[in-house]
Amino acid sequence: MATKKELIEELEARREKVLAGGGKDKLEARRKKGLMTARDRLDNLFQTGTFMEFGMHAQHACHNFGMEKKELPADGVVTGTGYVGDRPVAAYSEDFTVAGGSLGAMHAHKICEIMDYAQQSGMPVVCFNDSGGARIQEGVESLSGYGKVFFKNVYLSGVVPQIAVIAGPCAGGAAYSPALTDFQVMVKDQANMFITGPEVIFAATGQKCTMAEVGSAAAHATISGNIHFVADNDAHAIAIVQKLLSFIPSNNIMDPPHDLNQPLVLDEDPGMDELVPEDSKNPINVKDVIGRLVDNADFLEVQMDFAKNIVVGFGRIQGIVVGIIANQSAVKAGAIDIDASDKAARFIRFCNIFNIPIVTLVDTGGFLPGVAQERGGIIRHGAKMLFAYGAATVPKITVILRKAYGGAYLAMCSQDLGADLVFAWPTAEIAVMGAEGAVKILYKREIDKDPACESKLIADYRAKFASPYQAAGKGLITDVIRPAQTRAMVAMALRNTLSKRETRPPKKHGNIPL
Amino acid sequence: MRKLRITVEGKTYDVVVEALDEQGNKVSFQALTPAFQQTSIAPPASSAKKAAAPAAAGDGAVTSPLAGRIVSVDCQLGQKVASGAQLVTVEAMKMNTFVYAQADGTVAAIAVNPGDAVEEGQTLVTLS
Repeated sequence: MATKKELIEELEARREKVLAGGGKDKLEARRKKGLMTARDRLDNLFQTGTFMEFGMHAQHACHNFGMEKKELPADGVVTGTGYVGDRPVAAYSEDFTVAGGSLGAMHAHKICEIMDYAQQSGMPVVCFNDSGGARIQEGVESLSGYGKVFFKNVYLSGVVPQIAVIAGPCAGGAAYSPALTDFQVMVKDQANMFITGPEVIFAATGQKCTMAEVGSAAAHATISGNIHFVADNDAHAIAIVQKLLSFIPSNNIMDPPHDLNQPLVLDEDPGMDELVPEDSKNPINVKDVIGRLVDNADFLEVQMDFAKNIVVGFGRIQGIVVGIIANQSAVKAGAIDIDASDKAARFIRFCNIFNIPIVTLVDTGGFLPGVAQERGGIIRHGAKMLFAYGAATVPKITVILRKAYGGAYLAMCSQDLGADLVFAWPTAEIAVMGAEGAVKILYKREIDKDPACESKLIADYRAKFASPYQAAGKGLITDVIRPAQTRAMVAMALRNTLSKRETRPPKKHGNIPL
Repeated sequence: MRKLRITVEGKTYDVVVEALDEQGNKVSFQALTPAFQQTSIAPPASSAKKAAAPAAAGDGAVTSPLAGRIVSVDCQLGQKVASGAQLVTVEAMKMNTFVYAQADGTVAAIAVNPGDAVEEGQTLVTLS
């Protein structure tokens, strides 16, 4: 007995038709333009031969506007699982060659099915968004489809990592699905994302603008902060996704992919000492510090072009995956503003969900003063950082490099906000406020009488308080260490706290100030 | 090609390891693990009219990235500067912020003096 030849042939014929998407000519035209097809993207994401497709033969059930005569291969979205490295990952990829990648009821159903499977199996979800939007012919059913996808995004949030690649148009409500995921990668030039585009903006408000201004990767990476990574092309976007996956676990009950086989090396790094400028007022490029702290200088920076006054990203320190949050004193003096708070708080919460230890490098004079900041709500935005750190139960290691003043000292994971260990360099200045400001308040009368004494009072205050030893004396830091010892000490601290378990009172969730 | 030394049950062997691609062709070890690069991007140009800054920023204007006090002007009128040259030092938040030339040019005007208070976006130096 053997399977009937005709049945095999029928299967192969059906497969061939679906694999051709909107037609072989359309697929070739895309490739000629340097764009990957929906299936090319999955083939490049996954190890060769590991893609397992779900719902290849799915068909829409729309009978309006002549749709009953149209066959839409895979209903415009390719879904399934495959291996990235040695781990299974779920993915879906919208096919712009099939009805413009438009989303109808079956398209949405397929997305929801693969997301359910990913959640139940504990695997990350990667999606490639490349769609003209709702399938108008399906009317309110397509709208309902978006709602269902959004609900799944929320349902999976915090259970498995979700990564969205904006690889083509992503307009209107469709933009909210990637916005609900953990990380968004946007391919420059070929992708755009907006709720209302230039034409609608002009029609509704009379404001003239360009697509570059409101919907480009450049706008979202630098100004709106909507995306986390910019890719040069499809292949680069996939490389970014793979790199990101190499740092994060498959789900919220797994540990991140630490490499604990390597022996702990406790050698000093004299180069770190040399990074510190003699004048404490001169900035340090904190990325140089991070480069020396992480293994092989391998640091995946998240949102590198947004709120550059704070640097966040992933690396490994002697094999242990960490999320790093660092003030960048070379940009806006490292002051924490609204955008920096939002960027850091969201990153901290991602790390906490997925059991990634947090290393915080502190070098900030404070929250950024200004009318725009106050009126913009720096109180509630800055509070996000306090909330995120305070709520995080993963290992939290803080290194105070230099400036740690006032509320910003607390907002950068001080001991009081739950840091497990706090190290300070001898250059650390931990104080409630700067010497100039403090002296004006403490010695107002004396200075009014004799303005000449102010500079001496400032020098005295600085000598006494602008150091790590006041804080060390009060038990607020674990130890004062030489910069050269930083990598070794942080590595040891991470190993020591790797099995940290902290339980809190059960609750639905806290009420982070949004 | 890499030389490695391995020791098995006390016996030492010097071995040569070559990296091959899927077709069996010799490749460099770097080629097997292509370097990962991140892409940085600049903000798009704005077509909206510039908000009324303290001194309207025009072409060649080098502006202060934040509100603060001028510590020093690190360039001279008429000086030719290369992109990346330090032009002005602004102090704010107990930290010096160096303001650099974004392009090659000649210092055509210096709008500030040490000790001046400046706003974010205020023109410090104009390059031509």
